[in-house]
Amino acid sequence: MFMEQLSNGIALGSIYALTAIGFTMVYGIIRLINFAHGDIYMIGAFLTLTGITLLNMHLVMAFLFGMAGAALFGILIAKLAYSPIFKAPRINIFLSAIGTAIFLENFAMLIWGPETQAFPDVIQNNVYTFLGFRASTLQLVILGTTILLVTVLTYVVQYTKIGRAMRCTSQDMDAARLMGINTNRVVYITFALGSSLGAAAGALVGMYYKAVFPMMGFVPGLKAFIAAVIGGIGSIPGAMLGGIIMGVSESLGAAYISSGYRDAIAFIILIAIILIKPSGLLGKAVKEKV
Amino acid sequence: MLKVEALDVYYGGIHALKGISFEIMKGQIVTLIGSNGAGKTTALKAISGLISGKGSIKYEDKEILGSLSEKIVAKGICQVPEGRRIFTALNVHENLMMGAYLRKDKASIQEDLGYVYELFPRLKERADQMGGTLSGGEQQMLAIGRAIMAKPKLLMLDEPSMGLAPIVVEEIFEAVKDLNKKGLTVLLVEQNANIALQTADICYVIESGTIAFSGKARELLNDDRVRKAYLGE
Repeated sequence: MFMEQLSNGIALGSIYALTAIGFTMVYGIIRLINFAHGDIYMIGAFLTLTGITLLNMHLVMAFLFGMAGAALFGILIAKLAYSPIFKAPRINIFLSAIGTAIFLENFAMLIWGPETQAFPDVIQNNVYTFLGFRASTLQLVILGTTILLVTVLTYVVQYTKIGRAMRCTSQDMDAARLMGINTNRVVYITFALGSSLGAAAGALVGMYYKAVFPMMGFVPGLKAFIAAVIGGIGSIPGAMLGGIIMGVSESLGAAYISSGYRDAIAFIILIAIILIKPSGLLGKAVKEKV
Repeated sequence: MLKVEALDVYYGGIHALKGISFEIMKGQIVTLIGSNGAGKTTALKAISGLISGKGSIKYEDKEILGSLSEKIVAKGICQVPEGRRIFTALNVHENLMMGAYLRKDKASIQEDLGYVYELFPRLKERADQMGGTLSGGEQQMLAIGRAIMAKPKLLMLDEPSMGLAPIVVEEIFEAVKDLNKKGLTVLLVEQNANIALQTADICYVIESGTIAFSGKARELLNDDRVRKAYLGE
């Protein structure tokens, strides 16, 4: 049972990690906890489902369609909900984020209906065993997709021009503008990238649990936020680590303690880590001289 | 080269600049001096496009007030901000390369990098060190070096002497004079009126958002109003 729960936890953790990266990236650039991010995850799941059922797309195409659609939603949210009040105190943007979340949930109910929709069996699910480690096809697909997307993202952030612009903007937006960086564009691209990763997570969850519904992003959104904080908000590897820790401990906790405590475990870990290391596991601790 | 006319800037509810006008000719070092909160930094930020204002800022006879900051940088105006504002989590070399963000001429970027390392040899020694671990003086050198990497025609320096030991200040101002001799026009904002007046050609004195008076820097060094208010005599 341990091995089964471990692979379940890693799959779950990969999904938290993907979602957490979106949180952490947006926070890194504009210091905003984007509470609409969990709902972007839901929109991504619905768009992917629509791509498969209504538009008869191939699974991979539908997945990319979901990511691209969610990226567009991300840009629109940044433009319509955050950009106009960007100079206002942070609390205003925070409220706007919560409003956007409620709007997206109701928008989804309007378009796709409030009922839970079944996600078709798109992948033949087999169970593989090697060296005592058991994993299903779906779990391997989730882990593989996560590794692929994170590798691409890491490459973009570390080695491309726009990635360097993103890192500079996150460190000091005014100084970045003085380098000639179009920081507005950087903000939109960050929202697009973060939202597309969140959408990928939503689509993978839809496939894993075979269910998609308008409120599906709420709790995972909160947990992904916790994962981002545990790993050190603003740090992409931290969000990865935080996500995996959350997923694994939740699965193991549900199996060995009680499944009723599944959600509580996430918050216990959060409190424990914040008490020991307030900046998070990989939180930035660059020493600065003044 | 740069002509600021009747520039008005509001900061929240504060009228920070009340219709100031000044002019910079090609090849000059022009300094704005004045006390804390007089509006010096605000003037630089308005020129850089970081904040908006009313009036006119003409650069090479073209209006730039209201342009985006990246357009202004692309035109050759580069600001070294107050407090250095280097990228602390990037190393020295990466910081310098960020200065060249808008440039595509690889060969001449390498040439300028060589020049910056020649101007500030200490940066070369620390090329792989994170920006945040440098001393204040080294950070100032890095901030100036980073601006030079943009190949500016007009370099704007905001309080380069702030918080630095006198010997380091001297080193930095020597570098500024060196750059000016190579043809770079400089707009210098300083609280250290003494060194500013010794370095600059023209000086404008800003008092609570207006230009109180202006003149040749050498002459103002002996001006009673300046001596009393800014040189502590």
